[in-house]
Amino acid sequence: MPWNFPIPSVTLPIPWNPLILFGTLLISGLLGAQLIARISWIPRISGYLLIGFILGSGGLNWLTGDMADVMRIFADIAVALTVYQLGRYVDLAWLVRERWLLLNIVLSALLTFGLTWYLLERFGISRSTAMLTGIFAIGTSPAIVMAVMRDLRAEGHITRRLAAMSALNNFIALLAAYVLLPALASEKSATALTLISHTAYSLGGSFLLAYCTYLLMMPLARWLGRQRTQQFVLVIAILTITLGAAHALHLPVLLTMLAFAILSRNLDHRYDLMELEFGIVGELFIVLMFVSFGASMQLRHWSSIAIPVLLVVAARCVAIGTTTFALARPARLSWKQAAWFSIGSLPLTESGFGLIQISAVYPNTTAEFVPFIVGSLFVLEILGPIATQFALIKSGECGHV
Amino acid sequence: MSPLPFAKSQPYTMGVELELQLLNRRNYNLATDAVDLLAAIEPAALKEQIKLEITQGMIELNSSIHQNADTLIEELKQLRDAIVTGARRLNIDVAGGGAHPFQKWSEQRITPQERFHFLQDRYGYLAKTFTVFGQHIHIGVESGDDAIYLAHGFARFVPHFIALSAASPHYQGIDTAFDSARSNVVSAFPLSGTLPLLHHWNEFEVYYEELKHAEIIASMKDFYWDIRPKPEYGTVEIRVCDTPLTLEHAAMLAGYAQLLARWLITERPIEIDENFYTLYQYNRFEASRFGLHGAIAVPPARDAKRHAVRMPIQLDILERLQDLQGYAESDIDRFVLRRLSRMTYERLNDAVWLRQTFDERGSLNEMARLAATLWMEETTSPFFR
Repeated sequence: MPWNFPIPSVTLPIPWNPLILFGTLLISGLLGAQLIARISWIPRISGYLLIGFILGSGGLNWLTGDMADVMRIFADIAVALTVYQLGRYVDLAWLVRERWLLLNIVLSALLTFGLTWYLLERFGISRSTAMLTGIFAIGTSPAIVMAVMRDLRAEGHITRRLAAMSALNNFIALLAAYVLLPALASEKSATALTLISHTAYSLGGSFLLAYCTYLLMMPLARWLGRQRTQQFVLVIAILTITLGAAHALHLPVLLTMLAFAILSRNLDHRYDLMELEFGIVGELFIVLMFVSFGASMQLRHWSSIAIPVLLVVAARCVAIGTTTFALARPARLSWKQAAWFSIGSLPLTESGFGLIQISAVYPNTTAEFVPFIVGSLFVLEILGPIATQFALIKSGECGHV
Repeated sequence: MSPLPFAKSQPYTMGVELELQLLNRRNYNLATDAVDLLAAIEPAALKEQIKLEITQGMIELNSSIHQNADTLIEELKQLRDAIVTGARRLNIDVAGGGAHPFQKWSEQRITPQERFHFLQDRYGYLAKTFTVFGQHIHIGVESGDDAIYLAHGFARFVPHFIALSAASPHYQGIDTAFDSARSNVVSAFPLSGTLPLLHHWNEFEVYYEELKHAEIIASMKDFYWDIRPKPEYGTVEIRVCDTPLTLEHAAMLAGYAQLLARWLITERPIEIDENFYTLYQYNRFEASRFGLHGAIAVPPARDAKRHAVRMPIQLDILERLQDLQGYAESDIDRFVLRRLSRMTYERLNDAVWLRQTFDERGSLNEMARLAATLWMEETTSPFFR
């Protein structure tokens, strides 16, 4: 009787598939971080950004197709987790007592917006573009702040202020973007009523979704009890569902996540929801998130946008520094603490999420100001992690000391 | 000139030091805000009574000298209010209790002061494990000889203080089965334990000089004994208590020490012989492990020719409280005795409350939060409200 050995047909060399690519990406990120870690003043996440940049559209352009899709899903969840963790630093009762911090956050947002707008308009950029660039220059990067805080095991007065600042100035920037866009937009394809409706839908919808998520989560958290493992899975599950729902409903994801985190921190009076540390699993998300951010960094048209980008970066630095130092004494911060707080706040929010969603409705408008934001991001994603790490180490709140 | 002069103080006056936990309000782990909290204290004059401790999640509150427990409570409330106001600015909470239930000792940060860095260099990891929270009670005495006698005399009642103050059942994330897990931490230090069997202050001075000359110690601070004389204050310091969860409880313990001191110095009822400390460690263990459910070996009465016997700590405390009635001089003294009697009779130390709260709420974080609420907002023990 003939006997056939089932030999699978294998094509050599093995074709790349998403799983191989995914693993390769993780290893690349780790290697990048390991190389960067030899320089003590550069944080690990800069290594992930560097690898992302080399592999992404600004470099070898390998992160396309399936790979890009897989990576985006992980990066989306990672950003949601980061924003959730950061939003839970916003303790409204504390901000009522610590009004100088609240004032610092609001004034630095207004000054960043105003100064960016003024400088760019003086440089010859149209008013609406200058104003929109100003809005997107407000937010401090939640991802960088949280990742550096986590890496350094930072804990203390400046760390808490920095986290609250990052959560709230992003909140302000997103609100401002959705409120002002209808007035500033240069869309020929949409009527003013359509644009205003879009704003009302986006803001109302994201708050409603955040509240519904909170209502869904709390009974489940109470039912599961204060079991760390179960609550960890619950948070990941709820955040993923909310993320999917926000995408499906075309609602601003960052705003929804921030609103949900702030609600869950301030309405849960019995503290049924445990504060979760994401540990080793969190590291996986962080690698992919920063590789993904790195992949979106671009150096195109640098000669034409260099000066506006430098103006945006300068406006942001001056606005945050001036406000913080002006309010340092009433807020009872020492000059050194004011300096560390200002430097730590410098990284600019990766606006990928917000911009992609906004550009679906405002394609022409976003096309005008996005190059300045992407350029500013390039500068501040290189400098930002270093600045935040430096500030937290100098503030004495780093756990490694 | 005396090498270690003992400052005379008014007998039986009292003061306390309370080491307190600073907790972040996100997950109720230990915070790191001690330096910022001290800077935030108002009025500034109160900063003299609030001290930094070895790691940055701790702060120490020092009372001034008091004749009675009631004025002590009033002063502690004032200090508590100042600390709470500062803590709220920083968005942290403050709590009593002998040990933080789930902090990891390796994550604690040494407070940036010369002495604390020296301790870290000297003791290595032990310095960070010293992130535990005790109440120290000072009782004034007239002379060094009285201080030596009282330090030995108090040693007989160390199990009482441990059992009554026990407030550290959880440590490093687990229920230790001890009522006071904190008591075990201090034992690791080389100069912990008890005062040597000396009877007079001049003998102690010789001993002190020898150790200093041999560079084993630099000052009295290097003795981590359970009870130690404090010559610069003219007091004897009891160091075995966990910081209670409420201020009134802390004042009750100080009141008990005051009454015991009156009795001990007046009657000198205890003979300090070579066998005095034989069962000390056993009794200390029983109190730390079982709290008011423990049983200690009680020495025979003076001149009695029989062996030590085992006696429930509860009963031993109740008998002592009964005997001290004759030394109560004021209503507050009598209140102290009544309150402690009930606490002992019903076995209601803070370890019981902490375990009950953990059982009800299911998380150490939540237990820590509620303990902080108790310290910041209540004065009376939850069992007596």
